[in-house]
Order: sequence, then structure tokens, then C-alpha cells
Amino acid sequence: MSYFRPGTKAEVTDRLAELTGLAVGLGALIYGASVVQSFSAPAVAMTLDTIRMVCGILVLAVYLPLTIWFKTRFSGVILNPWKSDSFMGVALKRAGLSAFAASVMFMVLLSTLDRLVLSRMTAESVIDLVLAVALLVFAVSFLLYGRDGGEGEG
Amino acid sequence: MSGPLTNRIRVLRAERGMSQSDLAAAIDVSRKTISTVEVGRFVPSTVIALKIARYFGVPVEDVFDLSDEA
Repeated sequence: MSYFRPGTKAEVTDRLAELTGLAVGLGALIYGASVVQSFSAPAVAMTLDTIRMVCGILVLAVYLPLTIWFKTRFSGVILNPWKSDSFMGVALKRAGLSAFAASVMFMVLLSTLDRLVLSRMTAESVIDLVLAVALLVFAVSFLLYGRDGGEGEG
Repeated sequence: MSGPLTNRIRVLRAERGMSQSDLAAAIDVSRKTISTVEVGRFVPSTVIALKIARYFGVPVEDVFDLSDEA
């Protein structure tokens, strides 16, 4: 049983949760790079564009096919990590709650700083910024909640 | 107020010579779920707790114990 060939439905569901966390992290990079890009010099902007493109390709060419393959690996069942009450499934849901709370708080903060921040940014950049924060908080929370504090096989 | 949830999964497994992976496969959860429940890092759902107890053929109170705080 290797990482990409988990043996049971529960193990596959855990892999799906891990892949989701990873893809959300890549999404955070894409949106974060987009925000920085709007304030940076052309040379830096080109590098950031490359980073965005690589992340986008990874999501489309690696995450999506792997997810579809894992989800449909067992005939007659479509696995869903969000519905799992396993350790990783719970970590995914807790990360979702953290991301929701952080994005609401961040938007409230932005609305109070309208003269400092919002007046200097385009609507597109503000949306990208909020998305980057939400996705980053999700990815980091999932990494922290999903750390294996258990003991090895015994 | 109640104290932390403790469990005897490791003991029950050892009595039957089972690994974490064996138990995980038997009740359809991941090994990581079993290992984190065993060390008290993860509080399992009622369904998982009942599956574990049923698998070992004991009441759920014999597997999990919610100790009272002093």
C-alpha cells in the first residue's frame, strides 16, 4: 500500500482530504500572487505570473485528475472527505470553519480601514486579497489540525 | 465538568494481537484515525466509538471512559 495506492475507502478518503488542503494552498498562492502583482514592478510581476501559471497547471493537471481517480476508485461509491468523520475529515471541516471566521473578520477589518486600504485598491485586487486570506487560513489551519499526533503502528 | 476522554483501545488490540491497521480496516476508518484516538488527540464520533466497541464485543463504556474532574 503506497501513498497513491491506498488500500481502503477510509485511507482514500484521507488522501482526498490531504489533496484538498494542498489544492487550497495552491489557490492561496495564486490569489496572493495576483494581489502582489498589482503593486509590483513589471519584472517581479512576470515572475509572479509564472508562479500563478505553475500553480494553476498543478491544480488542473495534478489535483483534478487525482481527485477524480480517488473519488471514483471504488465502483458504486463516490468518496467525499467532507462527509467523513475520520480524523482528517474533521480537520477539513475545522479548517473550513477557521477560514470562514478569518475571512469575515478580515472583511470587517477592511471595511474599517476603507480610507487606508480600500481606496487604494481596485475591486478586483480586494476580492483577490480576501480570497487569498480565506484560502491561506484554510490551508494553514488544515495543516495544523491534520498533523498526526498519534503514534505509529503498534 | 468532565475530564478528558481516555480509552483502552491499545490494550484491547494488544490482547487480540492486532495492529492499528488491522483495527482500522475492520471498522472502515483510516489508521491515522485509530492512532489519534488511541493517544487522545482525536475524540471520535459516536458512530466510530460504537463500531470500535462492537468490534471488540464489549460495551462502549469498557472502551472509553470520561473521567470526572476533581
